[in-house]
Order: sequence, then C-alpha cells, then structure tokens
Amino acid sequence: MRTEGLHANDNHGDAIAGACDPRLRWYPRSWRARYGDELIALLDDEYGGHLPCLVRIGLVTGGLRQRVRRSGLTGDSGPAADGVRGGVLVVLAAWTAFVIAGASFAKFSEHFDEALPHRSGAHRVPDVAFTVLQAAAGVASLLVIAGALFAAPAFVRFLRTGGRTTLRSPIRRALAWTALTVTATVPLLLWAHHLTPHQRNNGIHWYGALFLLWAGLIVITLTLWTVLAVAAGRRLELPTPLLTAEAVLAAAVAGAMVIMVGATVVWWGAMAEDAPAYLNASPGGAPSSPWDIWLIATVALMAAAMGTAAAGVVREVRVWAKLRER
Amino acid sequence: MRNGQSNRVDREKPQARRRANDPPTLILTSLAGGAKHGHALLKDIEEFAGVKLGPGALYGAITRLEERGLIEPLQSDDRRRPYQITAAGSQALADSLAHMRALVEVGQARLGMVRTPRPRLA
Repeated sequence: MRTEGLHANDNHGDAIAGACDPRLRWYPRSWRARYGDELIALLDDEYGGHLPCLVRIGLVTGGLRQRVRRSGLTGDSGPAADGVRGGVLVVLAAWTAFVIAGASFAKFSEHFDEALPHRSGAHRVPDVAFTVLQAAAGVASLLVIAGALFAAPAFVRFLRTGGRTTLRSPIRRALAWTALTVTATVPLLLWAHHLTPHQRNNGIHWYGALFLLWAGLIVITLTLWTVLAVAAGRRLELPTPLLTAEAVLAAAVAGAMVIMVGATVVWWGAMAEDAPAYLNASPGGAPSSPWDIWLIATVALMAAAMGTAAAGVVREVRVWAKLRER
Repeated sequence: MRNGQSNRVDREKPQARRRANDPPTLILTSLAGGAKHGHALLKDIEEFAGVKLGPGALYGAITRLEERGLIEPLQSDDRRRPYQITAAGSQALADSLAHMRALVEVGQARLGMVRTPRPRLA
C-alpha cells in the first residue's frame, strides 16, 4: 500500500527524532522531516554507532547538495518558479559581494585624478572609465532598490501571515550588527574629522586598525541583511509577472556588473600607463609594478561576484521556458 | 555506416543517457526486482553491480527519483520505509537500458566482437 503523498510520514515521533539527529545537521529541515528517519535507520543498520570518515563527508556533501537543490539553484524536478527565484537570489547575493569590492575600489581610487600628469589626453581614459563605473553602479543600485520595492508588498503580506516568526533570528542578527556598526561608525567619523589625509592613510596605525575593524563590521552587516533578504525571498509568494520582472532586473544588474568590471580593468590599465606611481603607492604595491595586491584582490572579488551573478542569470534562463509553459 | 550507428545512439532520448553505475539507474534496477528499503537497496546493489553506494548518495538519488515520480514510498510500520518502482520508473529504466544496449552493440561491432550488428542499428 502506497503512502498518501510524497511527504507523508506515519512515524511522526521517530521522524522528529530523525530530523533532529546531529548526523544530518547539513541537510535542510524539510528534507530531514521527510527522509531523516529512514536515513538514520540506514546508518544504524549499516554502521552501528561509528560512522567512517568517508560516510561523514558523504553526508556533508549530500546535505549541502540538498540545500542547493531546495533553494532552486540546481535540479529540474522542482517548480520552475523556484529555479527563477533561485537565480534572482544568487544575483542579489553576488551584488552584495560586488558592493563590498566596489567600496574597496572606491577607497583605493581616492583622488586618483590628482596623480595623473597634466598633459593632453592623460585624464581622458581613466576619467571616462571611472565615470562609466560610477554610472553603472548607480544604475545597478537603482535596479536593486526597484526589485526590493516590487517585492515589498509580498514581503509585508508574508510578515503578516506568520513570516515574522520564521525570520525572527535573521532579523535580530541583522539589527544587532547594524546597531554595533552604527555605534562604531560615530566615534570613528569624529576621529577621522580631526586627522589629515596623510594621517588617515597609514599615518596612524591605530586609526588604520580601527578602520579595518569598522570595514569588517560593514561587511558582516551587509552580509546579514543579504542573508535576511535571501531567506525572505525564498518564502515569498510572487505571481509570475512579478517574478519575471525580478528576473529581468537581476539580469540587468548582472549586465551592469560586467560593465563595471570592464571599466575597472580599463581604469587599471590606463593608470598603469599614465600614473604607475599611483598604483605603487599603497602598502602592497611593488616598485614599478601595476600589480598591487589590494587592487588584485578587489578586482578578483568583483570578477567572482560577476561570475556568480552570471551563473544566476544562466539558471534563470534555463528554467525560463518551463515557467512560460505554466 | 558506422557514423550512422554512432549518431543513432547519440540521438536516443536524452533522459535515457545514464551511466551503468549512476545511483538512479542502480536503484531503479534494484527496485525492478521488488520493493526494498534503504539498507536492502545498498546490499542488493553491491551484490549485482559491485558498487558500494554511500548513504548520502543513495538518499540523494532516492529524493530525485521520488520527486520525478519514478519511485514511490510504501507504508511501513517501522523506520525502514520501503520503495517501489512506478510505471514511469519502469519505462525510464527500460529507456536507459535500451540506450546502454545500443551503445554496447556499437562498441562490440567496432571491436569486431559481433559480426553483424542488429538490424535496427544497421
């Protein structure tokens, strides 16, 4: 006799035991509720109390795979809408990483035009590249805000229908770290206000260390808000036209990232040509080399974020046809 | 002619293109012989294929097969829930085996192990 539905589970007490077993901690909760009990029984039958190392690794990778599948990022057996939604959320996460890299680049490129020689044409390429970068960043930011506004009514509905309980932990974490970041920002700003540009840029080591700590707080806070956005985005009920709009916006943001990475590389090349001393001025810079470690790390993070966003868009496109059939 | 044979195999149903040691193929093959729970599946697969699947890989494949409607769970009184193959699962397994058989025949023909290939591949 077949059970009623794929998610039926008759041994409710055992199922809860299986769902809570620490050996399955890498699996998503909904998966554990359905299969955890059976898998624990199998582990007990096969290995008794001691799990070999390879089996433990297999459970970790299996659990992570299920998490990725449940988020709609891989697999073709789930609803197409989940696939599109997964692609959009990947682009959103990639955008956060890109913003962090962008902030790093903004700090690196401060006052770059003052380092350019005063000859005809020397300013043109770096300036144009930097302007393109800023414009693309502005457009992409507006697109992300538009996407958030489009989803806002569904988010409010979700909160009103019990979503607040589901998101309580990520909301609390994000708010707590935001408060900590704001608290750290005020004294740092006040101190910075009384320092000269030279003192702010490696002139005072304590200030440099505190600045790095503050930058770390910003990164953590941004990451936690993104985690909250992804957690909420996975649960929102979005009608197909709205999901389509979000997918188009996400693809446009990914396109903007491609433009920004291109503009950054052009800026880098032009600065290496016209003002190589500027690229060597940072602590990681080697004499007579355009390969500054800070800039390399920044551009690498930008490129990684761009690649991740592209993967999200590819995922969207792959499931697009399936969604259109509905 | 040989190119024609090769193309014929490559153009089989894409969903049928599974390796013989793919966990889903092994599970469907095992369940074709009757309903089994996870532990029995592992033992059976090890016996007929010589492949020892890990529990993570087994349940990853069971999840996918169940979501696609190729297998279904049976009611059980204990934690060891058995699964059985569905009609769609039997068809998918048959397609997969047909694809493998066609591949074997082409390979054997090219190696000279079989003098006259089957008419459907000629």
